[in-house]
Amino acid sequence: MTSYMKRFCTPQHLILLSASFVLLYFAALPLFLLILKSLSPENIESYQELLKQSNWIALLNTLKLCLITTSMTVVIGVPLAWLLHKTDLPKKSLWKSLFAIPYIIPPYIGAIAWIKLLNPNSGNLNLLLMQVFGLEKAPFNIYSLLGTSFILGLFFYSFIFLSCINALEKMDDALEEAARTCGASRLKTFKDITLPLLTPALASGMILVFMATAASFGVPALVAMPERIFVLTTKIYTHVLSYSGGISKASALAMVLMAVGFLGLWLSTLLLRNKRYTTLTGKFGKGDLIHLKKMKWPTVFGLSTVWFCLVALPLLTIVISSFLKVYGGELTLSNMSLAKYKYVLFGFSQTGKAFKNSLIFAVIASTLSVFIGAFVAYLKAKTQMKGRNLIDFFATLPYVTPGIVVAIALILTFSGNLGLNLYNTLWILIVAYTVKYISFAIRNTVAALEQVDTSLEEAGKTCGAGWLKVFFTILIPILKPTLIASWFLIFMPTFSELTMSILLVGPETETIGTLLFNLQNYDDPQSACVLATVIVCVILTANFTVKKLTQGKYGV
Amino acid sequence: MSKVALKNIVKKFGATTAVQSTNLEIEAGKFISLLGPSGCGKTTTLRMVAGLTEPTEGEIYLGSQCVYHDKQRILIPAEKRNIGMVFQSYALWPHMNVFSNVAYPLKIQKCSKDVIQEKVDHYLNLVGLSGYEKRAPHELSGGQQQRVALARALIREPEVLLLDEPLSNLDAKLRQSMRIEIKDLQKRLKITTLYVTHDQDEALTMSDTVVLMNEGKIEQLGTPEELLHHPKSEFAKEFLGQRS
Repeated sequence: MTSYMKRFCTPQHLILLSASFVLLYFAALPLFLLILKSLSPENIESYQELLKQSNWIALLNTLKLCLITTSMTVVIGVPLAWLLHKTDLPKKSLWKSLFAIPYIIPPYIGAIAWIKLLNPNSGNLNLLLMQVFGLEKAPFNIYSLLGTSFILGLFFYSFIFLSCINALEKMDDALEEAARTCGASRLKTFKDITLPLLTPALASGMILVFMATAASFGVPALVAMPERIFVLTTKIYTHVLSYSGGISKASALAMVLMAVGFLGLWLSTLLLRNKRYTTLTGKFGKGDLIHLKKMKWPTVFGLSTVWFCLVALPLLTIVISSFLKVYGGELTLSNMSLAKYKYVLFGFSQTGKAFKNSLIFAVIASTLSVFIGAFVAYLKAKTQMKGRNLIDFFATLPYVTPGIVVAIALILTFSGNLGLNLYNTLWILIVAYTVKYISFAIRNTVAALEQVDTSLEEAGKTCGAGWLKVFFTILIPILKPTLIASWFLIFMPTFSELTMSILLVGPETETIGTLLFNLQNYDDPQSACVLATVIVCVILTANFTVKKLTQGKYGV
Repeated sequence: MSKVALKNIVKKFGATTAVQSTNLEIEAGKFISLLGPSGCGKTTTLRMVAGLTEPTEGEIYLGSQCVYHDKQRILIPAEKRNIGMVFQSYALWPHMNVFSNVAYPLKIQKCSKDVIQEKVDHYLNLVGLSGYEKRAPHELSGGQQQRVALARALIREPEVLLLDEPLSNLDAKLRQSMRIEIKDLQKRLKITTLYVTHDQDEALTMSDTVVLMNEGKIEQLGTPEELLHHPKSEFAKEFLGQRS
């Protein structure tokens, strides 16, 4: 062996290289193949197909959905962040958690609830409003593009809310106080100082909302598709389900969806162009909170009402519906029972299987992500290896790519014609979950590794431990809290995943998300409510656990 | 006639009392320092004069106007008080250039463009920063940022100038020269000034009157000479004895 070979055949290099290889093979390659295939000459027909009117309408609908949802989230998220940061409201951290709940719950749960509340025929809230105001017709129809936007907005405002409240917490309060001492009123200060300084956080929140809306599948599939209103994701879904050449049409449309995502990115850079937002260093003072005084209890009452309508009411609707003896019957205690739970959880064979599947897939995917992520994070934070930032970029790519596009890329790559055949197996789901969310693990671990001084590793080495030994006996124990937190943060979205799963499940690999989708869409909305309740309970428990374990650093 | 008057001012944060029944009068055109260790209530006192912190009890007068009165429930907000304030972190707005930072108080008053241009020129000249109008705050040195903050505080010709540890972020050499510069400016403009510091050298060299504070109370009030030569308490002796 030459000395050159010896230098590069150390366990450190071999492990880091194989982690990178696995990541590139499963995360980056499929997306590149998808782009390559969709741009190949034989696929030109699919692009001609794209010019069909129905596809244009889907694109237009997606753009409309993105714009309405983004505006709505700003209107809810920014004032909420301001109120919960600036005022002397009691129990602020509790309020913050309460309003952040939609951040961790999958939006399709909201769709099920709001369909129950606002469907035009028998929506409970519609019926109530008709009774109270003596209306002839139901005032709201959730089965519309606006309804879709409404539901998505009620979940995605949490992106804006959390990113703005973080920015406010980091802002030097003296910047605002200086404006007050210059004679600016609170409102003028907010307009001239706070809002411009909040722009970067707001823009990054808005781009997240924009891209999440464009990528959303569950909500538009449940509330817009029944009225034959299509957006890009649902259009892609129907193409995949159709028989002849569906997948190439779908992949052509997937390119359009990716382009919409890039449009969002471009809009946000436009927003930030030519502006300097460097915050000056100096001792940051915390200013005085605004005393609400007489407005305190009205504000608490107002916030409770808003929270009840936006967050609690839909969740409550699902829970109550799941207990009803007669679905759609009266809301009395005598009409409540656990019968449906008994049936769904024990009597209905598919449920147990789907539940077990989701649990297994999520556990394996979270574990894989955390492990591979730890090596990739080490590569990025602690080595000088060439291309390490590129590998990190490829690891983030599937996260920013719409789930449905990732799913199509995986189908194209791993259905046998390129060697590996994972189609219809549990592995294609595990791969999908892992590549989609591994960036969570990498990001958190990189941040934690940057806090670990290199001397700790060097001390291990001088004690005679090899790199592997140092990695597992020194670094991993130090990183343990971060790794556990990352595990939970990946477990939560993968356990309830729908968008990729719907295209990737086989007859034996149905997940709890796809089962719920099918139940709601076809035959049994009450069973869907039972499953939704179970999902919410699992997610809230996982969130509570991670919050306790990390003393509030992770989780909401 | 006094420009600033505090009568029986008390500030409590929950169970702790930050400022205990303080009386203070500042004559027009004088330079007064609030001196004391951290946590003695000096910054809280300054912030109450500015209107950024609401007192728990007492009365505050700026000129002839009552800006706070607990019994009469008067509380004039910061923006309605004719003050200029320099913050410890300077608090220059990073999204505005030097000109816009300094012009901001005049824009609030809806002054005409010509007036704004003329006054900004004048005050930037006064602090020695002519020609820096287009710079962003982060392109300036600490001392220059300090001067911009000073120009911004002075431009509306306030009744009282409030300075909160303005020199604590500068290096020792610059601190010396800024001390002289600020004092010089204050004398020339004859502006009533309230200056918060924990540095006894600063207080003793710049002020007409030094207010030594400890644990929320005024420990001793007098000219620098009085404090230096006749410290009334053990605390005063010890605190001023640290003088290097």
